[in-house]
Amino acid sequence: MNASNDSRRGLPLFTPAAFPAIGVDSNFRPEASTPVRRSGIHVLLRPASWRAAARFLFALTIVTTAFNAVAQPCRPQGTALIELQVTPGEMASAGKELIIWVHDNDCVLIRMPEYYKRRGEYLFALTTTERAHLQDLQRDHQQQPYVQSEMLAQAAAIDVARSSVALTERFAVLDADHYALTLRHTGRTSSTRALAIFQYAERYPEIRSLDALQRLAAALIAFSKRDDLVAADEIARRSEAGQ
Amino acid sequence: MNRTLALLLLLAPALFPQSSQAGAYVFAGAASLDEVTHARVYTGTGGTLPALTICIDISVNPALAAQAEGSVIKAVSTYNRLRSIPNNNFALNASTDIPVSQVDFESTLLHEMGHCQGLAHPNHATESGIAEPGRNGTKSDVGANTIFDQNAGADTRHGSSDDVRGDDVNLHWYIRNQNNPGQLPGLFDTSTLIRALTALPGGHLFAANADRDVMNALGFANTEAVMQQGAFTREAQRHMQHDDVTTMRLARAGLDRVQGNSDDYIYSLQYVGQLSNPTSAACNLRVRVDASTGFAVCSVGGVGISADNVRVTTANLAFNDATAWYFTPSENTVTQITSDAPDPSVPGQTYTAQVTVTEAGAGTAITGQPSGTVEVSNGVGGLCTITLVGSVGEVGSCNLSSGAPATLNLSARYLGFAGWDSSAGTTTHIINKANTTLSIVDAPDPAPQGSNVTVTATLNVVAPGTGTPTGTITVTATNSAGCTITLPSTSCVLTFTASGAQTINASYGGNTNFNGSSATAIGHQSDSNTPPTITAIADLAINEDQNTGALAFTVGDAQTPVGSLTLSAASTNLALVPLANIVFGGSGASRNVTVTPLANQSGVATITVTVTDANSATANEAFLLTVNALNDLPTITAIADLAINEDANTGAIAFTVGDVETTVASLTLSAASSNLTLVPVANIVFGGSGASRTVTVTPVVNQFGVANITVTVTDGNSGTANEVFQLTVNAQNDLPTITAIADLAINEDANTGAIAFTVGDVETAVASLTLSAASSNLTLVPVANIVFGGSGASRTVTVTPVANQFGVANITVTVTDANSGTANEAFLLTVNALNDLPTITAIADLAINEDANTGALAFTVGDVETAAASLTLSAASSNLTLVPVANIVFGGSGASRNVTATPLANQFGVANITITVTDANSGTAIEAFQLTVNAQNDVPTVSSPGNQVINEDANTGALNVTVGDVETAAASLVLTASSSNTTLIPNGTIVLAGSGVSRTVQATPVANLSGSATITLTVTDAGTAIGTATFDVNVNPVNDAPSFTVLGTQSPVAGTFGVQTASGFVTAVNLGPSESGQAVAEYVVAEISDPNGIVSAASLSNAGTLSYTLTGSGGTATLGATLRDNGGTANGGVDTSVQLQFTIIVIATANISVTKTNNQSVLFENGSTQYTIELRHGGFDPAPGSLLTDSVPVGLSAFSWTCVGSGSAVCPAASGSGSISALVDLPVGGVLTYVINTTVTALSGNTISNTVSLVTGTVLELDNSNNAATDSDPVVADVVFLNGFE
Repeated sequence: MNASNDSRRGLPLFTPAAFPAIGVDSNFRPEASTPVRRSGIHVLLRPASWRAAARFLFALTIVTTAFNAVAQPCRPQGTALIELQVTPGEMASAGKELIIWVHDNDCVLIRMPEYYKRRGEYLFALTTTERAHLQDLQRDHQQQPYVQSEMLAQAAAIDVARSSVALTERFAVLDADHYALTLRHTGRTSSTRALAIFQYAERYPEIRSLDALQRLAAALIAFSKRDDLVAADEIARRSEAGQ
Repeated sequence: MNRTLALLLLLAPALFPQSSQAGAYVFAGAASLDEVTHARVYTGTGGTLPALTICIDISVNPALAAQAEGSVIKAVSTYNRLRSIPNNNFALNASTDIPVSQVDFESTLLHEMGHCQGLAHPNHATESGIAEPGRNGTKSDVGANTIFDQNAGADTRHGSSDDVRGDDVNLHWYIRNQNNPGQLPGLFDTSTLIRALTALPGGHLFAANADRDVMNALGFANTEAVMQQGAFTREAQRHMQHDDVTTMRLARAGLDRVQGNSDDYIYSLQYVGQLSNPTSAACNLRVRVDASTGFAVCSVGGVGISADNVRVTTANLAFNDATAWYFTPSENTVTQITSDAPDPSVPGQTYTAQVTVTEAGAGTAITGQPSGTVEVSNGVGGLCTITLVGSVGEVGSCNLSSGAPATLNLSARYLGFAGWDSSAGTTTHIINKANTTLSIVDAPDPAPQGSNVTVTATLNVVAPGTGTPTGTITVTATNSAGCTITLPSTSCVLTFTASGAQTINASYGGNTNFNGSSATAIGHQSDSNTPPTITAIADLAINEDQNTGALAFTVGDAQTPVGSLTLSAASTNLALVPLANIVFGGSGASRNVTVTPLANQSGVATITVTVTDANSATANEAFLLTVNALNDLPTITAIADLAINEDANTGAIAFTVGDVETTVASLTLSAASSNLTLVPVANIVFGGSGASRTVTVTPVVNQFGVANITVTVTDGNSGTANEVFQLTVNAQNDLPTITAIADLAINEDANTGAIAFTVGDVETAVASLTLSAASSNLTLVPVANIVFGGSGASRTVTVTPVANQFGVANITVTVTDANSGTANEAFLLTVNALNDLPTITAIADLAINEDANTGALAFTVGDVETAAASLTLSAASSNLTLVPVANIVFGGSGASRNVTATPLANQFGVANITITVTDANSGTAIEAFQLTVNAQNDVPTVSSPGNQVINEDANTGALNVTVGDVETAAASLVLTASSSNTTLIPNGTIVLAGSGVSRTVQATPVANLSGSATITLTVTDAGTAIGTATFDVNVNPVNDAPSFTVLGTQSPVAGTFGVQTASGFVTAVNLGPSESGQAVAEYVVAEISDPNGIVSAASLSNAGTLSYTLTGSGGTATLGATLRDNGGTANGGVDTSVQLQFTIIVIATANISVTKTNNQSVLFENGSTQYTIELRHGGFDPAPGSLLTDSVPVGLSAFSWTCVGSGSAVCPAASGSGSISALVDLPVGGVLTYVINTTVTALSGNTISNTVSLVTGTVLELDNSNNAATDSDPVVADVVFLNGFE
């Protein structure tokens, strides 16, 4: 049975129109050879209440996603439209990453590393509501592309603005997590590399691209917290048993 | 490493710029590589700082956060102790406490807490972008070349002292001249720690850090700095190390980075509990367990406080809530500080901490009383230790010394022993300021009004406090301005403006360690002061160079005791009477003064004597002193007696003259001699000028004896002075004489011949004169080679230079008389150089085989003038066909040389080889030897076609090779081949072809096999010499298509629906020849045709079980199945079988039900009735052509009907009359409803049964029981109200 004939499926999770027309790797810029695009720095200082709202939204994202309807098992098919890798700085070596794939049949595969309480691979099918929520977050992220060097430049500008004496404010994240977000559709790939996005987002809530990225990442990571995930080997066992 | 991770690490430097947390301190590098990061509580002022608070934020994940509390308390205790404990802080993947795949929370917490206090990684860490193991290298900046130069050096350990780091700039503070991360310095400042590499010990190339491997090599097993990045499961790392302690304590040396001054600071960590959304002011280090990190991070904000100094302003720790943390379990011990008396204490006072360690309670694994060590820390560097023996009710105690006043967090940490877990208890201890007492005295008391009164204060520290207070004591008094005593001074001065009793108050304000205190005294002041008195001193005159003697006078005063009166003097002519020359004597009221003018001075001076009382009032007395001038005689310094030899003079003897009145230039000199025969006056000559004069005395020639010489100096006033000295002239011998010898030149290896000269002497006969010689160049002319001849006055000398020597020598001939008097004559002898020919040792004749060489034949060369290294060699050959000159090669150096002759390939015969050595002067020497080359058979050759890579079931094709031989024609060479792996390539499948020089070889592996084989080609010449060549044939495996068979058509029972399975459907599986190791990856089942939609969800399990779902419809479905094995498609392999088709056949069925009713229980005579017939199809397939029959029974007439269809059913006819007999088509779900109207003609007492029946046509009826229906009713009379009105 060809999956494309599955009448349950609706619109693709990510449409070609959502990608910039310039093509492959629209968001990924090699930092080592690309100078900071200073003209692209936009600093928007918002009132403190906005920060509180952002934190609430972050928490709400996790809560609402985690308490959705009971997840349905699935088999991943086709292209992984979304891939998020989280590599801790303190644990940076092969096999230590948390990886979340969202496939084009709405099947989500989560691989948790061996030092996690739930090490191994888990699967569940996105509901229509979850799918729509991800689409919104992804759209926000792509409308405000995140570039690590530009974010750091914006952060430095904010620190200067906050300082009573120029250039005295500093910020650093030690053992920072590395985030790699890849979006794919019909051969187009958009990649984003970032560091310690949640810590930077807490300090610099006014940076829109950072906020959009961290909300999308938070939603994806929240999948790994669900209580109703089904282990991949359990699904294989059920299939073999004809259940 | 997967590709994404590798990319991340590659990009890390760009993602995480070097300006951030690049050093051993978090912010080093942003503005300066020397920048030190301090904890939040430090703002630039030294001393004991407020506690740095840490809490657990329970607003996010309260359950997990609460679990962390035990670890937080332990980590706080660890940081407050701040001690380096090597050798057991590290257990990689081996902790017996921590379960497999869990991570120790306490270890990770210690690491992140270090970051949040300002410490960065001492190793490169992930922010460098360097892959492991280079990530363990010592933290550095990239330097000018903008890349990390990472080379582990000879020991292959990154981070050790022999790392080769190019222009990388070290960021790790190491111990000067030690560079040993396992040692702690005595001081923690820049006198002991340095970041630049200028203080590395000899042989060290870079600063070492406390990496696990480096420490192990230094003799510290299981040791690594807490701040080294890199966590592992089952890793316990709970003790701080050198790097951690030194870096943190260097910061605590303050802004000046010098330890031991007021700029230093200390602070302690304090756990303030579980809080919800605390502010950074309430909770300086916030700990959360949430989803904001994949493992653990610390994020810190900072702000600059001075050049090269930053302080942390915000510090947040986050730990992943999905990680399998190992939280420090509840201990089986409880540690409590039961007492810390006295509390409060004062600075310098000792207080005693009493500690109990008891079993935690029920449920622990062991029982009893814990024993072992307890460490008590005051959080600001103080530490004492208790050893518990494990007795029941035991209370341990130790003493701590109170420092500066503060509220301290005392923590007692039991270290655990023999199954007892470590645990900690805390309490607070208050140190108050020590009390002081103050007392004062004033002096003099009483004192005259307006005079100085000295107030002396005594400040004591009240026990048990100790120490020395600092600060100031403020003194106030009635009728006087106040004064201030700055400790450690003890006094200040008051001046009262009124007489009588005055109140004096003193107040000490205290300082950081001591409370203030005060004191009062009463001072007594008398009335106003009157000046002192002094009696007159008469004017007087004295002669030059005299003094006045003691001039008496009397002093007195109304208020000041005469003994306390002081005297001073003044002079109007300091050139005559300086103040130092006015000396007072006497005592009490009777005093005197003695004035001594300067020597040789005259003139007038007024001398004023001043007497001063205790209140600075004065009285003066002046007198005139006249000093009369007198003439002074001239002076002359002494001249020592001296002795000189006959015929010599005294030389210029220096002396000095002077006079007070006459200028020295005008002083005249004269002389006299007591022995004019020896020294006439004319032979006494004066020299010099001014004060510095000389006298030179020259005795008469050949005279000797003694004379007294008198020198007289006369001034302008005819005043004279004399000086006499004795001159002794000693008798002397006369020296012999020798005539001149001219310089001369001779050639190398010649001599001078006899050179004549003459000798003589006054006292000694010429025959008794002796000769000796000397040479300035003993290498050229040894003394032994100077030979004298002749006799009497006529003598000769012959000089013979050493053979082969040349150059210049000064030859000195000495003649000596009987009194050892000598005379010398020197002449220059020049020896001209002549060249010597070089030498070469013999080389023996020799014989070698064809195609060999002689090897290095040693010989020695030499030359007298030319250094051996400068001798040149050349060669010649008598047989250039056999040995060309180019094939004669020289080796060696200096005197030791060798020659290697290599005959041309395949040549033989005899050649004479001549070696010529040439010196720098073109002198030559020759050596020749005969070389015989014996003829030899040459080994034939065969080329290799090179290693071949082919796929399974292919062959190499014909590979070209060439053969050859020197003696044998190519056509006569025999070529054979063999295989090292005859299973893969049997020898018989190796085909050799071609002819002459050009041959081919083709290898064909056995079908369906893969692997490697080495093919050896062997060529044999006519002389049975053998040459070989090899090449490898690597056969890649190519997956063959699998095949399988199935049972074939499936024919389920008619009417079946739902999920069906057929185990054993696959009857035979063949994964390919020689591919038995493969497995079925999957079966793919595809729909070929299913016009009636009878099947869905068909699949085949890897075990061969067919599953499919029947819809219930009848028909035939054709499906196709393919098998894919796991052999892959590399190298053109085929992993998928040919598709097998099979069918599933289901017989079409119908399920039609028929009902009939008139809804009446009786029929009435002559009445009418209406029947309703309903045909309903509930099956899965259409039922065409079914025969419906309803015959009019007897007793009914006027039978008419209508028909209505629904559910896609169509009536054969809409209406009719009489019996119904019709062929109807019923689709699935279709309904036909017939309504029949009829009249009852039967009489009462009959029963009318009306039956309808249906016979299905071409489909199988599943249930015939409901295909007919009958309605039977009795007929009754048509009587209205048969039983009366109802």
